Amino acid sequence: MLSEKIKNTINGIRSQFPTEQALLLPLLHEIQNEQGWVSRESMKDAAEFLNLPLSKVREVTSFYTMYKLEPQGKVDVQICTNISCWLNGADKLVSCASKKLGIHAGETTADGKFTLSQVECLAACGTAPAMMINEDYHENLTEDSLLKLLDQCKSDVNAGKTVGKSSRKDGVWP
Amino acid sequence: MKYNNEHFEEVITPNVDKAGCETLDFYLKNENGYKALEKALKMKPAEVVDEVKKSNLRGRGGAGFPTGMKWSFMPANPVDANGNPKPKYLVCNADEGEPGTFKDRLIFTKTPHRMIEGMIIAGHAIASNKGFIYIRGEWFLEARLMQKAIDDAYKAGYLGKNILGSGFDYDLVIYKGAGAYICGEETALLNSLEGKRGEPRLKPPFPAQVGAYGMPSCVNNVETFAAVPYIIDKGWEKYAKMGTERSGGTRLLGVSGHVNKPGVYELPMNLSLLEVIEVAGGVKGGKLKAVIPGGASAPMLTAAECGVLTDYDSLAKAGTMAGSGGVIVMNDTVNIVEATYTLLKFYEHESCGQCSQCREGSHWLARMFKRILDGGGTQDDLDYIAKICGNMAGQTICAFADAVTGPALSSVRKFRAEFDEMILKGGLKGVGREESISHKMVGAHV
Amino acid sequence: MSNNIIEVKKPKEDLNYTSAKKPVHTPEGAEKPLPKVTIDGKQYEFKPGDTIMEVAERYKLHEEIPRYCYHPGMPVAGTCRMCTVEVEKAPKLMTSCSTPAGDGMVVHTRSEKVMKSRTGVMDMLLTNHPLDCPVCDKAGECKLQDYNFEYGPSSSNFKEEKRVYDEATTKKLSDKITLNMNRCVHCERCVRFTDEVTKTNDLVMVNRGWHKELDVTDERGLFNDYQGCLTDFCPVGALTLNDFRFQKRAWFLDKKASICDRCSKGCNIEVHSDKDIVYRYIPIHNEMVNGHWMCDEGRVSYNDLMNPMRVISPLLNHNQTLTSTSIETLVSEVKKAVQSAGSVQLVVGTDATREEANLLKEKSSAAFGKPVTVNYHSGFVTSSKDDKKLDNLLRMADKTPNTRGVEDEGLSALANGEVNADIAILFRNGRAGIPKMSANQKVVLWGVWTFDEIKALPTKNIIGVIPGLATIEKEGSFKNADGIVQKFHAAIIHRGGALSAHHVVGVMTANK
Repeated sequence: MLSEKIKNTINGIRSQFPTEQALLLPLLHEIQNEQGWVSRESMKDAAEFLNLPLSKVREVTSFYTMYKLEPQGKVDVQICTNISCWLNGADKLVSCASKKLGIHAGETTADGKFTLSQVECLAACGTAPAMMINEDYHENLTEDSLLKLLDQCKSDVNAGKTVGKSSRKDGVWP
Repeated sequence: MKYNNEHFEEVITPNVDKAGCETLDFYLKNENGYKALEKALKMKPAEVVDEVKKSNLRGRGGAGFPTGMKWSFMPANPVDANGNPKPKYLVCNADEGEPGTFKDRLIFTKTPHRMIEGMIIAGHAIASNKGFIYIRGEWFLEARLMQKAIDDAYKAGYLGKNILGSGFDYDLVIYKGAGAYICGEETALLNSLEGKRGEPRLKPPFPAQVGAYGMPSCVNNVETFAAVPYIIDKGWEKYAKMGTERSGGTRLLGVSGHVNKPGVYELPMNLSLLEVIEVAGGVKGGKLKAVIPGGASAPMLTAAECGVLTDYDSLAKAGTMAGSGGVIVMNDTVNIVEATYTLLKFYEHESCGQCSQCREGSHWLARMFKRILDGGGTQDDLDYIAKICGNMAGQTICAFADAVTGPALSSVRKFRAEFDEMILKGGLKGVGREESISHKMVGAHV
Repeated sequence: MSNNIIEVKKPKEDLNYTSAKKPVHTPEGAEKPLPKVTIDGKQYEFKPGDTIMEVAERYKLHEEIPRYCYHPGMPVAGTCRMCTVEVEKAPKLMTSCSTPAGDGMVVHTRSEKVMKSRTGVMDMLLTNHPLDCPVCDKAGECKLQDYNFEYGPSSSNFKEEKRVYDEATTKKLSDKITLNMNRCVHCERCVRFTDEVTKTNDLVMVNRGWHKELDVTDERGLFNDYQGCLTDFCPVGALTLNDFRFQKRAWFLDKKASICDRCSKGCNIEVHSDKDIVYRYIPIHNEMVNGHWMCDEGRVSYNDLMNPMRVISPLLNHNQTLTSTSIETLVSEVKKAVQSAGSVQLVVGTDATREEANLLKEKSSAAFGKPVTVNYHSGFVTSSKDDKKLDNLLRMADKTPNTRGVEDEGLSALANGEVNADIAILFRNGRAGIPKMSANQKVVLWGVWTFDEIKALPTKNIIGVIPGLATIEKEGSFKNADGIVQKFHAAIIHRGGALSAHHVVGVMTANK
């Protein structure tokens, strides 16, 4: 079932768009934010909420890379390995993070806290190498600053704090 | 800064290093904020279009299409089958995904109001009352900053009903994408805006006839909109004179890679690439080897070719393109085969998969380059790269396939010796390099 | 190819499969001269809005423009890039399926540029396509094979590992369809079909780029009633019909047109047989009747003919056992039974052809040598007025093909669906319902019957069984629910002892 919060957020922007189908991407973003991934159940709920056939929702969730179809760690470490970051040592950062977390890119730690992944250009090439942790950008990285960040995330997660959503205001779109 | 261009002055970024430059107050106080809008609302829409046409403003998203002409393609009073008027939509393409491009992010974070003003003026010019800003999904902070700017503009009466008492209504809505480079393509963006897969559409019909939600639409880049207030405020002549005969104004060049001061620089178009690199602090960590002048899709240039000027026509003549202004600098520690593979891996990942040639071809090229890196390459492969690219370019729905051929062909043609060496010596190991951890091949099993 | 004669009374407008909703014939009496397009040097008239492909199809150009994703019964996709043609004054090759023809446009479909492009597309599609031809059903009727033969390339330089869909290499999408995803060329015809034609949305193409994969939308699997059509138009062997899988190589099949007799729609079919054994039915395009489609029930209905329980020799009841005999003996015994009985009723199933219904109405009294009441019985509807559509496409409630045709003969329906005479002769071709009867009703069974049906009858008082020909074994005509009369010829020769109704009536009349 979709939570009331999500329904209210989406109903709040309904009038801005000429069709109901246009609300699909925002709705999936909200689901992704609330649950950390988009399950088959959530896809069915989304389809029902917007009067769409399930096939249209499945097409969209599998097309876009930001909608995760499997549960992710609480901290999603996404390091850019495209050309400008690669030229500025993104590889070393990936190895460093991989060693620190004990997983390869594309995997989640056993305790479900960290996911490490390689992503494409984040449009932060001037401050390369760059990465995202959940919703936050981190730029001008070095191995030291990366390790510090990961340590900070670990302690935040252990303390039960939300990680990587520093600009989000609850219930406010976007 | 003097650039040997007496007409040059910064159009978009004169104040981006000042504190608080993104606020409405700053914009109003220090940048003649919304005065261009006031002026434009007193002009007739056709006059605004004409002004922009004469200024030679060209689309800054990558294609370089004259903006005034694009606006003039919009139908004047479109009606549907029952004779009811159809709404027209203006769409801002803020899906900055081209590797090496990061200029729009600067505009979003440092001078959002300039872009908003540009969009309202454009809306007036094409008689549209609603604009959508399609922002790439990863820009959570930037989208929220833009929403704040929009909210402030509403409060101050620059958006909404009866703007500045002119009778013109305008609404601006933000829409976030979800991580697909192909959504930077105009028609794919429109499909994504409608809540569908971001797959490019067949043209014709063009967006000016059937666009967002089936209505006539015009899609422009962030920087294009950000240049409009200056044109209206200071006049088309000033803007046109800054540039070359066929493209007016300045360009935001995002210089990255092996340079000492990477960042966004607003520059006139009469500089050469070498001069641009100097502005960005010069090459770091070695000698200049190659430059990609216009984002990843632009064919690369050797160091010897970097004397070319950075305006649209000179770059086109040199066999590359101005593109999105992402200048990627590579020094001589870079192995070109590896660097090209980084880009081809990106294209393999981002192809939407509609057209046979692009879907299979981008996959094929990436795998072939990886095989060469792993030591299994042969001379035939190099000949065949040209054949594959010939089969892809110009025969697909959108220009993605052409973009793939940019790095693939240019790297083989201009750095043939490196390829030959790698094939002869048996891959990366043979030339004494280690495989990048980020290049670990994903298997062909799905 | 098809031998059907169509009397069109009034075309239906609510069919959702009509090809691009445009008339197939060239219009007469147009007010101003129609625009003309030149294709390969010849000029063709067209109606504004036609695409180049539609013009080419209508005029049946000698060399068909190759295509994977275009299908006249579905919306245009324009993604396979195989149908590109050269249009003078256009900078790039244009897809003929989506480019509207223009007045004065000059098109070349076989120029050097076009042929090179087609070879290029083939080269690309064959990179990841497995060399499954020896084990693939589609061999012999596969578009990839056909176009490769015509346009090349003759060899490939692809040295990488071919894409493999681990889970979907061989995957049953339902009990009717098997998916071999590795063979797929991503034309997405199947997805568009389930979106726009059946409107069930039960197929979806997930992911993007080179690992796009076909999947069923949810745990119900495929649930539409037209799954067989997926295998008709899949250009390669990715979607195959389980009913036909590994049964027969396509090049051994004889192909003859006929009409499906499983409901009152009367879809035009092609019977594929080898040595008079039927292996499958496929639909033939008929814009007025069934468009490009047929339902699954009709598609696999040929299995009933192959049913070993079908009675195919004359049977006479001798000491409570049905014994095989000659038609002359059987007819003589039947006539004796009829003569000695009181009232005689002949019930004509509405799966009889118009000719059979007419014959039985006109000649049965003379044949049997005494007055015979003739009624008709459908078993699914009381009369054709009660017939209705079961879905938005083709299926009809009346599962017999000729109710309207039989009604045209002036026969009245069997009251209450129940036999009411001393002796009843039940004529049906295996599809019409069996009327109600009492436990010791004397009956003569005539037509297509199975031993299961005979055993299930309430009565044991069966005089005999006169075996008849099934629809595809004979010549005849049906009138479908929309009033269209369709004539057909025999598609296979019956190799058993069943006889045409005309022959039996002849024998009866001769027997005094």
